[in-house]
Amino acid sequence: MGTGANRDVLLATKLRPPPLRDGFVARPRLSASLADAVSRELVVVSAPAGFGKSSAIAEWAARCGTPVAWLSLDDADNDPVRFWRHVAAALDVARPGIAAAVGARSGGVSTPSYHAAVAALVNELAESAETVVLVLDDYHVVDSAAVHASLTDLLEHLPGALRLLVATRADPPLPLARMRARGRLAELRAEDLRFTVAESGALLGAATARSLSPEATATLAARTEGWAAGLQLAALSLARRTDVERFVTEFSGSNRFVLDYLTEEVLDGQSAAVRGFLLETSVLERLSGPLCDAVRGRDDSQELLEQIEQANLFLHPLDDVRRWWRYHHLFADLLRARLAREQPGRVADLHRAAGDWFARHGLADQAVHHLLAIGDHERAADIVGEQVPAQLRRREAATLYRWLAALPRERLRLRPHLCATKALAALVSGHVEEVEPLLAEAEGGLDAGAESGPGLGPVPAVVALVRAELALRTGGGGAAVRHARDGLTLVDRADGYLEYFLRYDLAAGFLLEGAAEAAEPLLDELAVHPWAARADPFFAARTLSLIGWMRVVQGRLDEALRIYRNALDTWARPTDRTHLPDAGVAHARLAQISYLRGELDAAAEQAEAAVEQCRRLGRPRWQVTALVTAARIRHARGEDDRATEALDEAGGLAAGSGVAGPIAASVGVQAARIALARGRVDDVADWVRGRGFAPGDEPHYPREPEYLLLARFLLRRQPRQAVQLLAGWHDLAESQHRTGSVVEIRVLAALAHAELGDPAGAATILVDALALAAPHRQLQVFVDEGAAAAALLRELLVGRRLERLDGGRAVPHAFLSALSAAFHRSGHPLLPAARPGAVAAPGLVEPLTAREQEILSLLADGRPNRAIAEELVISVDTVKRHVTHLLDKLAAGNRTEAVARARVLGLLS
Amino acid sequence: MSGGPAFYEIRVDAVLDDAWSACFDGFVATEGPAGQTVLTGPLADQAALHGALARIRDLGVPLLSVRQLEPPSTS
Repeated sequence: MGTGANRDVLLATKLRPPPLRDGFVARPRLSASLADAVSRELVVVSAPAGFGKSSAIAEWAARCGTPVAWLSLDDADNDPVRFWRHVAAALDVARPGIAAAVGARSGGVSTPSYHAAVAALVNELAESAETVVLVLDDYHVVDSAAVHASLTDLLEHLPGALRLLVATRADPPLPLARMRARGRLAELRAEDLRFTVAESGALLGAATARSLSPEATATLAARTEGWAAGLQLAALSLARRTDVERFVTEFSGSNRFVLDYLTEEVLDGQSAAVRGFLLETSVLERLSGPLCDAVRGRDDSQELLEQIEQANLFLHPLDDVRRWWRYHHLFADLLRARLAREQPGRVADLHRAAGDWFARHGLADQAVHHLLAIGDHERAADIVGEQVPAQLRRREAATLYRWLAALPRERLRLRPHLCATKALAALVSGHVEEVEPLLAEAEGGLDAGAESGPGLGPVPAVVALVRAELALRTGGGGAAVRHARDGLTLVDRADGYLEYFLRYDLAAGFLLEGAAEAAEPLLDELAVHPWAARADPFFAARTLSLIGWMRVVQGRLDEALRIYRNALDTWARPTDRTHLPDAGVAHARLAQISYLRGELDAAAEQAEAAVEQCRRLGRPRWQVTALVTAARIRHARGEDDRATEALDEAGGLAAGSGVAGPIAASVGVQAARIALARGRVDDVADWVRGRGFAPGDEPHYPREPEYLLLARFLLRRQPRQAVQLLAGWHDLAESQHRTGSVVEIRVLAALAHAELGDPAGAATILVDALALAAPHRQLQVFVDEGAAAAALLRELLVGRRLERLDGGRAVPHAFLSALSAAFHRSGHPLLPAARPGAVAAPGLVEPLTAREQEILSLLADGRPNRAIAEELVISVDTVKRHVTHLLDKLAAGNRTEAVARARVLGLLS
Repeated sequence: MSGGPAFYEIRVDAVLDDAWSACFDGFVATEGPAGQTVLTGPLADQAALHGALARIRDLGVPLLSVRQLEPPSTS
């Protein structure tokens, strides 16, 4: 099926303003009003059908000199993912490049976030200086709350260079009153659009090519009440009549509905062939020659279409090649009303033929539309079933949901695979409350032996996927793993989407459980999964984001950093379609990574960006995560009041938006951690009691942060218990390949050993921790333990103690320097205070004085004592004394060794 | 407000002959005062009511009022 090409053809037809036809009458006063109106952020042109809204806007658009992006909306735009893709396509005409930037940004299996598309659009246009006006025509067809909400979202963040013009038959549920009060809204309404008597005269004159008497013009203007459609129809009737006065008299004498009367007049003036054609094809929203042939069972449609367009019979071309047309909406509705009256029996046949034609040509949306219109649910369900994988691959779950919601429940119950698919589509498109009942119906239908059908794959596997997704949403990693495993036993590679997401959910479940060792092979496989290559790039980007998370857990910070930085760069580059699902997530992760590295300024910047993005995108879980990270950063900088502010905000947000599980718990953990650092032991003891810790608790990753805080609490009071507690957590983290956790636990264990009076044991453990942390520069975990950690490290950094302990796999000096600098900033310096001019460094027994540094560099040049003495104008004995001190401070046995060691310690350039 | 099936009376400011009933499934059009038409008929639920109103809107027929009628007595 040439689906892709056809879809594009139909999309292109939505992006053209209606053409200004021959005999069209300019209405300069409306153009002037619109030119004035677009100085406001939002313009609403609201008037009943046939008032000339689109024409007035098209006339202004053709002459205004401002780039105008036009989108004619239809039923299918009730899918927010589609709606925004179409908006982006419309803007792309005026601003090439935008569609690619925005295209793949919204939706996803568990994140129905069309907000992301809005944010992308806002970002794309934020830099732009030249104004573009986005016209949304026929907005009254939109009834999706999600679309209204996302448009409101756009209005709240409207870039300075974007203006919105909405044409509609009914006032849209946007914040009109508020915007009106603030002067941000301009309106054109029915009274503005009515034709004046003079305009009526011009219209009638132009269409009939003769001048009417002022009386006749006034009569027609009054009878039609300046209604554009009425005047157009009247003009069409007049054009073929010689007895103008009689027409005017009869028309004004009739009390029948204006448009009904005039439509009949116009139709009566047509040949039987044209009249029949107009009625038969009125069921079509778009017309092409072959389609009309199929619907009518004839082969002269192309000719008739061109003839009808020539005759100005409300048929608008939608392209330049005379392939697609549409009737003026009101005219089509009037024709349809007449068809229903004159040939009620034919309506269903016409729809069915149209549905068949669209189905044959791979245009499922139109096919389903026609079949649903005549209640042919059986055929509609067939087509929907066939379309499921393609719709999901394109992330159009909301469209699937809309189709499935239009099918009666009894019909669905007979098709368990559609029930299960609807549950998935409901979950993705935000109708979570419907999910469980639908799953129950799917399972009930299977038990009752209802036939399964094509679609995603085995029904129980679809049910398992939905349950795994539900579990992930509430942080239930274990349950997600169970359901995903169940599902995976039922599928194979041929099940594409289903197999991919069961694996994805399995990996995500494992990661929630901390099982990085189990997630890694799965994610390696997903990264090269063939299904993802054919699907929307969004899915691959989401998998990459999950891999980044795994790298953080594994302590492989360099790789994690690369993934999230690339993701953000890619997201900012409009020409690349491999987009990250959500910049907020990337910023939140980057904040965590920078924090772990002690890069507090960078971390603070990322955390701020994350909070802002997540607020805008409506991602409370991530917003809480970012706020907790912000609190950690602020605490590390000694800004405890601001840290508490962030935690209060995080706590309120978590409670208010139902965020539970480890993310909600992390707020309390961080607050208790700050309390502990400030010596508010009673507060911490309260927190400990509230968490219900029990001695026999098995270590389980989601609660690790809580238990590590308990260990910190026990350190000073019951160090032996702390050591015991930490041992279990250490083994779990190590077996799950969570190096990040292993380092943290070892730091705490070292502190506990120190408390137990075992400095040698403490030193050994700490050196292990340093060796693990160094490759990815994970240093904040040491700094966070404050004075106690500083005391232990200080001992290690004197002379060659560290080297003796780590037996050759030396912790790189650069890491020690960075660690030392971070401790210095935190107010717990590791190195002794050096006098002005002196230099302290890890590995020095004592700081080198300025004079000793001079002598060191002369030694490095290979100068003998005498030469040094001459150079510095001091005695040879003094040089010898300095050299002795140098060797002691560098823990070196001779000059050569001292120079070599000085190089290692970075004291010689 | 009732959510179930009920009879409604929709009053429009235009003269529609009885043939229009075909466009409003199950509705009867009767002539009202001064160029008005009264459409009376059963509607299944709120969604059906909104559907009927949208159809009236889309035909450009000016809407005057909507009223739910007492259920016809079945004695």
